[in-house]
This record gives sequence, C-alpha cells and structure tokens, in this order.
Amino acid sequence: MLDDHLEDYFKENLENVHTSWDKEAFWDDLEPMLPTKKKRRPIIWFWTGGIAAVLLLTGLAFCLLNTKETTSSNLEIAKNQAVDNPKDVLNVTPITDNKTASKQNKNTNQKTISTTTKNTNDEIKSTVSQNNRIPKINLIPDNPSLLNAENKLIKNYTIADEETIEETPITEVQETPTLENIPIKKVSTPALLATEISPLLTNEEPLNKIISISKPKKSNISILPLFGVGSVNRTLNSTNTDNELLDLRNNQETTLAAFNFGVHVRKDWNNGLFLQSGIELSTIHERLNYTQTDIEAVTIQSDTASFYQSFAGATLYRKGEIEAQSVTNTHYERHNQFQSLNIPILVGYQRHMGRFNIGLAIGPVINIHRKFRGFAYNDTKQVVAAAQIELDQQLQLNSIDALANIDYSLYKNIHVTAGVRYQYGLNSPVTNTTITQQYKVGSAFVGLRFSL
Amino acid sequence: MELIKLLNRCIDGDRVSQKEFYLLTADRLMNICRRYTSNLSDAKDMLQNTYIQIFKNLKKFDPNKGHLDAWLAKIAINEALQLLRKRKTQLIKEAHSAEQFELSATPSILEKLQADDVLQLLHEIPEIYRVVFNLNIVEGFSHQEIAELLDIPIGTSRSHLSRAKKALRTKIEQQRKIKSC
Repeated sequence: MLDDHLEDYFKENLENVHTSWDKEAFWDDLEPMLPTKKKRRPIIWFWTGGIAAVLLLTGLAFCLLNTKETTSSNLEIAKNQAVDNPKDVLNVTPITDNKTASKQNKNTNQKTISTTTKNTNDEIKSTVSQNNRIPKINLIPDNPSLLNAENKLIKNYTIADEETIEETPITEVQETPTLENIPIKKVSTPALLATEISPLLTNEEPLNKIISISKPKKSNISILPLFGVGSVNRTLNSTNTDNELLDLRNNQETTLAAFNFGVHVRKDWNNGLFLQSGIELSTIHERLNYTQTDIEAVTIQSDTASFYQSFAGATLYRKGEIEAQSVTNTHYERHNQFQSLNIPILVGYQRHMGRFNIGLAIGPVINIHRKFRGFAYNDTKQVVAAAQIELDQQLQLNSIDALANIDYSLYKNIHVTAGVRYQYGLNSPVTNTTITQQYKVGSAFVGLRFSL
Repeated sequence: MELIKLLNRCIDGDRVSQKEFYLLTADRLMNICRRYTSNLSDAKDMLQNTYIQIFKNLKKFDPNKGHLDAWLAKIAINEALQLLRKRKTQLIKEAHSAEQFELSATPSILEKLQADDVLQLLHEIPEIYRVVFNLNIVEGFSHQEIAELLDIPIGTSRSHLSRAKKALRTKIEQQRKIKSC
C-alpha cells in the first residue's frame, strides 16, 4: 500500500518537474551538430559501378572473342575471298616440273584444306587446267609493299594442292576462295613481320607451319590472389540496447585489426589503363575485456559490534542480522568478428618502369553479405557465450576503394605485387534499424599476378 | 497528419522544421535527462546527444511500430545511460543500508512535497538506485529489461529497487522532520 503511494507519487511528480533552461541558446549550440542532409551518393555509386561492370564485361568478351579468332582452324580459309588478279601482287610462274611440286608439298598437311577449298581463282585455274601444274610463288622479300600481300600469297599457295588439282575436275569447282578474312597475325613492327614470316615464305614452308605462327596473342588478362592486413577505424552509433554479447552500445570510434583475402581479375590495355575486379572476404576483429559485476544481497549474522557503516556523516556500529552485499566480479574476454563479402570494381592506370610497374586505381565496392559473430571467453579461455547476426540486406554500394601498387616481373608471366589500400565507408550496415556503423580500412597487401 | 508532415520535413533536413520539432519535445526529453543526473550540464549533454541521434535516425522511425513519445524517450534514456558510462560514473557503488531508518511514508507526508522536491530527493539516493528506480517505476521497464540495459543480474535489479524505495522513504521522513521543526 505504501509502495503504491510512493510509486504513484514519484511517477506523477517526476513527469511534471519543471527545469528552467534557455531552449533557444541550447538550439543554437545544437544546430551545427545536427547531421546535414546527405547527398544521394549511393545512386552515384550505383551508376559508376554499373558502368564499370559493363566495361569489365565488354573487356572480357572482347578478349575472349579475340582469342577465339586467332585460334580459328585452317578450314576457315575456304571461306576467304579470291584475289581478283593475283598477278597484280604476285609473280606467279608455272612450275613445269610436277615432281618438284609434289616434293614441295609432301611435307604439308594440305589434304584438309584442299578438300574444302575446292576452288581457286580463275587465273590459277586456267594455269592448272592448261598445264596441270602448280603455280610457284616467288616473293620479293626486300619490297616492303609486298609484306601485306604475303599472307595472301600463302593462301593461294595452299589452295594449289597437287592432289586436289589432280583429283578434282575443274568443272566441279563452285566456290572461289577468298582472302579477306584470313586471320593475319598482328605484329607490332614490319621488321618482326619480316623476320617471322618472310623467311618462311621464301623457304616455301608448309602452310600449317606458317599458320601456326598465328598463335593466340597474349590476352593482357591476369589473375591476382591477394592478402591484406590493416587497421580499421570504426564509427559506431547505436540506440540498440538488446545485444549484450556484441556490446554495440558504445558510441565511439575504435581502431581494430582487419584482414582480407580475395582473388581479382585484371584486364590491362596498352595505354596503361586497367580494370580490376574480384571478390574478397574482409574480417574485422574486435577484442574487448569485460568485467561483469554481480551484486547479491546477503544477510550476515554478527554478534559483535564490529560491522560499521557510514551514513549521513555518522559512523554506525551494528550487530545482529546485518544486510550486506556480496560483490562478484567475473572477467570475460570478448572477441567480435565482423565479416563481409565485397566486390571492388577498380579502374586504374599503370606505368611501366623496366621490370617494375607502378599503378593507381580507384572505384566503388559492392558489399554483398555481412555477418557479425561474437564470442565471450572466461579466464580459462572457454567459450561461455556466442552469438551471430546475419545481415540479410540488399546489395550495398556505398563504399569507395583506392589503392596504389607496385609490381615486379618475377618471371615471364608472374608478377609479385604489393601496395597500400584505403577503403572508405566499407560495410556500413544498419542492424535492427538501431545500429549504424562505418568502417574506414587502411591496409597493406601483397599478392601474385599471373598473366594468362 | 501534421506531425507526419513535420517529421518528413525534419528528415529532409529542413532546419526550421527541426527547430519546431525540438521546441515541441525539448521539455519532455530534458525532464527525462534530469531524472538521471543531478547535474544540469550533464543533462544538457545527454539532451544534445539525444537530439543528434533523433535527427540521424528519424527516417527509421515507424509510426506503426510504436508511439513517437516512446521512441524519443527510449533514445533519451539510452543516451543518458551512455553518458553515465562515458563519464565512468560508478553505477554500482557500495550502497547505504537504510534499514535502520525505515519508516512509513504516508500519503499525508507525500502531499507536502513539491515536484521539484521529489526530484531533489531522487538525486540524493545512490545513482544505481536512482537509475533502477527511474527505469522501473517511472519508465515502466521490467527487471529483465533493466538487467539487460545495465548488465546486471535480475536479482540485483530487484534488490536495487527495493533499496531505492527504502532510501526514498528515509529521505521523505527526514524532510518531514525538518519541516516540522
């Protein structure tokens, strides 16, 4: 009954306490501290990320198609266009000695080509039909203008298979071989072309050997396994009071350790630009020492007046049944982990300096999954409590990643790479609508880059 | 409806609306903060943090899930407790036993006390008792919730409340004696 009076009375009166204070002055102090309206950065990042992803996919598709084209089989020669007048570009002279022609073609593997390329141009056809001879091609290696024609020469030469000419009646020839689509090996300098192709042609090497020069060119795509370690600056704001284990209630900035590892794919262009993306797992570790104090009311039987206490300035000695408190302090070590799976999309520029490459890159980070895990250990390192929160939020694109790296060509296609990296706003999830946090991660990384 | 419009303008960062919202709610929130600290400066710090959190998280407030007043009060209480922790205030102190002074606090005595006297009385009891008393009696939190908020066992919360009541009764009786002299 008394309790009811007391409780009601306090409740009622405490609601109506009047505090005199200057509200206007307080607002003036408060106003500059209020958050300003944020710009819609996530949308900007969304478009930036989208464009970067499209560029990445386009680059990959281009490389894949390019590789496919260079590995096209000899059979495609059948689709090539005819040279209108080979004599315009070639010096074609009939070989009168059939044996020589056979000998020349013995080592070639032309059967496949011949059976599909049943035709040749009129000029050659007439030569063959009249003379039943194979045209011999004489190159003029010293004339650079013929370098481009050399490939055309090759194709005409391959068509002129002895066996085909002998076995296939001219009247059955229906298609005219063309030259326009013949894959031409791209070499950087005419000198290289001359050294790689001309000697083969002048020696009248077999076609398949010549075509084999046209290997898939280096794709400029590389794979980078990376490992990083760094420091995290976390800003945590929370109105959450429910999760004891994770201790997310402290509104403060803390410096934590972070590790990440992942695999990136990188596409380089000749002008030094590169596009890099991949997937990586970041783990942020937080260790807290925590002491839990349990206070229990106990009753002590004291027959002597030795128990005393201070109260209102007086020291009171007491005996008999005395109410006291039992204070128990239990020490825990808490280990919280925050894991996130991220896809950075980086656009960068790289400069070659001998065996070293120095690069800078920047781009958005797509956060695809987040997970909190927390453990509490007692003094004997036994886990006494554990908790886990999976954050089932949508993809987040609100972070930016910048890196500077240097890599060293270790071996033909292997580079060792190292650098520093700064990720701003990484993993800023909102948990239970009460916790907001922002991570700024500065880290160093090492990795290997394997060129494909 | 007007309130929702005001909230939306606050979310959009309209300072005039934010001030209007502040003027509407400041007294009530200050009142809550004052219950947790006897120091006006500390109460202002609590209130400042409270408004920062309110305007930061206002867009997350869902009127369907609860009343705005309760949401604001929860933030204010949380900020008050956080500030007490930050100031390294020893919430758990060796408490004075008020057993030997236990007297009855009758309605007649209570009637003589003004609202400000009540607050003064509250500030005279140990802080941990005051916090538990506020949370349970005034804010209506259960012992389970208080235990989670303060990281203390439920039994301790009950014991603190009991002691808070005893201490308050003692204080009331002391005041009665002073006034009767």
